[in-house]
Amino acid sequence: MSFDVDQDILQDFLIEAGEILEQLSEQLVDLEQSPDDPDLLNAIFRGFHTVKGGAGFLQLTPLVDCCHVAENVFDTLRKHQRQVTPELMDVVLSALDTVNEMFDEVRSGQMPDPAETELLNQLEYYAQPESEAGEPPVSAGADITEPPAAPVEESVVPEPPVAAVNDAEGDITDAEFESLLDALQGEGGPPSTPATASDPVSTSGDVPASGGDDITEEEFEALLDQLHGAGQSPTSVENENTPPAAQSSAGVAGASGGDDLITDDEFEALLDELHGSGGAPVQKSEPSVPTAPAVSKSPEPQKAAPAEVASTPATPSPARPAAEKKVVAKKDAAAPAAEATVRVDTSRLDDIMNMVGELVLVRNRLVRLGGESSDSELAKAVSNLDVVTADLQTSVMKTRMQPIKKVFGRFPRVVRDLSRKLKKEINLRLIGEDTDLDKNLVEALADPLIHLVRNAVDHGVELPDLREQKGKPRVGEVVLAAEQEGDHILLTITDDGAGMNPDVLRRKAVEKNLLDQDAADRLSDQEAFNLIFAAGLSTKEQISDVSGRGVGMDVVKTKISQLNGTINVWSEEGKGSRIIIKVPLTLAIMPTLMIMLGDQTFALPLVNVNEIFQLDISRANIVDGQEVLVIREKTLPLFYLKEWLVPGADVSRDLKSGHVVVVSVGTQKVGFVVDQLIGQEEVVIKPLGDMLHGTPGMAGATITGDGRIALILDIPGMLKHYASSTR
Amino acid sequence: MANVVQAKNAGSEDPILQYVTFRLADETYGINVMQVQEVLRYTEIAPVPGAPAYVLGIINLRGNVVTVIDTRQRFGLMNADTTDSTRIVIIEVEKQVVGILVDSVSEVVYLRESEIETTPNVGNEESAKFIQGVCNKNDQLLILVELNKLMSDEEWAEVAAL
Repeated sequence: MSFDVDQDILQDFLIEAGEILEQLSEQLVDLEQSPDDPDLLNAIFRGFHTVKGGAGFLQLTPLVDCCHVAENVFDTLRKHQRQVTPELMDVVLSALDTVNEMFDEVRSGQMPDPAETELLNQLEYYAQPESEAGEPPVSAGADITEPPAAPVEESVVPEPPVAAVNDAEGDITDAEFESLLDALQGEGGPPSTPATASDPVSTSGDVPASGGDDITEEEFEALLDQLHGAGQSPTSVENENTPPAAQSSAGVAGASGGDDLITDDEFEALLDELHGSGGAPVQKSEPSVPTAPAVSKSPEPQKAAPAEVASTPATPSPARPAAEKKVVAKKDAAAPAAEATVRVDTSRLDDIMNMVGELVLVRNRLVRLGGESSDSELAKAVSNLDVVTADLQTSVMKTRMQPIKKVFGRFPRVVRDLSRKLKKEINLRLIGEDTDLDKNLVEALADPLIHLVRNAVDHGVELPDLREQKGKPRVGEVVLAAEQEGDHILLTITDDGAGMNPDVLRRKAVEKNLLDQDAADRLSDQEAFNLIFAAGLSTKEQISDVSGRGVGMDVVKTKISQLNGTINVWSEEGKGSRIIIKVPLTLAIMPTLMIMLGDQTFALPLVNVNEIFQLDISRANIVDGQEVLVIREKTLPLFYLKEWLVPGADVSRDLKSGHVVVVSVGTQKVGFVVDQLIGQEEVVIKPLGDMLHGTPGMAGATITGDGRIALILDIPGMLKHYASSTR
Repeated sequence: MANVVQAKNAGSEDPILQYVTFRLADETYGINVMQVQEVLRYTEIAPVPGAPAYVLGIINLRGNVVTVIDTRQRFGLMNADTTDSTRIVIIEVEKQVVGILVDSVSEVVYLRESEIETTPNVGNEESAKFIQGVCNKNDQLLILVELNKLMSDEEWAEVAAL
């Protein structure tokens, strides 16, 4: 089912809510660590609330329903009516998952399916204060007769001592609120102002404790009393937005807005009283819309759900200033957040990056020209430009950088869920979350890292009992660390688990026909550990849905190599394992060795280059038609790059000396004869474009300091293409 | 520019088309102005080893790498030396930006659709396939080039598959 909403609003919602959901997942896991943190509880409450608000505005009813009950749970929690338990967290986390699923559906343009009834029921159960909710969630669910779409609570939920009527829900606009207050005060007369004071039933402390934004049952009744007592018609107030439908439909109306935990009975009582006191029947001006308006400032009174409005007459009683304060506080909180950041399309950033790159080239040319001129004014201007451009370049680079927190943030949840599932006790420690790296890299690293962390939890850390037997603390530790090391980022995943046995790895490799016995025996321990990256190898005896199929590590390795990174394993049996990933800071810049062939410039990726030396041609031999060099008692195939890359070039073999660049491809080493060496240079990789993409041996192109083009060579690809065709 | 063209088109049975004319060997060719992005002076073209024969190489267009196609090779003409008037016309075909090397670029001409004649079938298979039509303007024969057919379907497919 698709739905029709303003795409701009939808996109804004998706971005904003997406971020909130990400934060929520983090916050929920934090909450388990510090269950009593009121700030955290409030933050989570607000998170669900904001998503609900946005969804309500877009009329995504299923999403609203699910967020709403989750929100209620946290309302109960923050009022200390319930303690955070692992079971509760499981339910809430699965609620978050459900919300995320719905969110994805919305993103793909579909109306989300309603959440599972069972989940909603469970959430509702937890939304009740502990003292009141004696029933287990399942039977609570059984009690409910209404369909899941309407999260009706009032008919089932026993009356909580403090009914959660949240005026902060944003269901009432400020203006309405004010006018309502005024109206009540004006018409209701003096009694309504000293509400709490004159309230005969009011119990102590409840209102202030809950932050003044909740209305207690008692207050509600007090209000009724007052209204009653006042004996004046509140009709004019109601005209604006009291839907209660006044009539017998009240029960139904109340049901759809059952959010406030006001029971039908009470609701009807209120209506009766209003009727009685007002005399004139309340006019129902709008049809009831069961969804809540998005924002508290939303100028759409007609959307106010019936029950929410029902709460409206009640709201004035908890001392007006308190409510106002809340509204003001909300405004304050929202304003700076909205202005601190601007969303920019990444492609626009790329464009800017490109243009800055061009500017740098022009600068370089100017610097060269300035150096030749004797005009000191010009020299000054040029050097100024030099500095400014360099600053500009770094700032633009920085805009593309993101803290690795963005990836790390999801791991607490991953580890928590897994460890609960596997009945392990694991503490995840994150180090260096603020390390910045290129945005693309952050995204590209997410999958491999998740895989590695799952592995550490599943394969690495042992079961608590086993750990105790081994004399280790019951709680295992997984450390995820990131740090910048020169122009690289170093990521390590360390666990203090069982570690790996190199012999087992060797045996497995032989069993799976990856190696023969001899080759396996020859492997050093370090090489044996690296076997885990081979496809089809898993040391886990049993396959689970977590891991053990032996795919994955090879995918991780491939992924990391695609990022020009390296991955290494260190392990000690009984002590734990450590996986070390090294990736460049950014994908856009690559260190290269620039060489000349004829009058053309080429760049060899520096990662492949091993050494450079002068060639003494007399030392070259020919073996089976292939020229080879003997270097430190090792033979090295020798290729003339010019022969491959410069068409029609004539390569004189009788030169006394030439430059040889030794490159390594995998374990193999090859020598390339080149005309000239220019030096090491960091280059910005430019794709060759659709037409030339995939040309054998070419990884891309770059623009040199003088504005010319240098081709970046893809050494493995080049060898494969040319070496095999010449032989 | 697009608006102007459209405005002229509106309400007219015989729309006016704009063509950029360039010279190659001794002939004048025209390409639809909407496909032309810009015209560059000749800059050094870096050859790409292993690239197809019709690709001369790549150039640096303000930080972007653009492939340059050898038009002479495509049109079955002899190679010629570059001169002062040699230009690289940057065009957009099939969502790809490519450059074509031409001897010189002359002007933008306005043609009525009715003025365009179908190609005289002279049997030169190699070049005829990407000729859209010809037009006699001011006693000069203008050959209109269909850029999409500058390369064969297989070649575009090859490019797309890469």
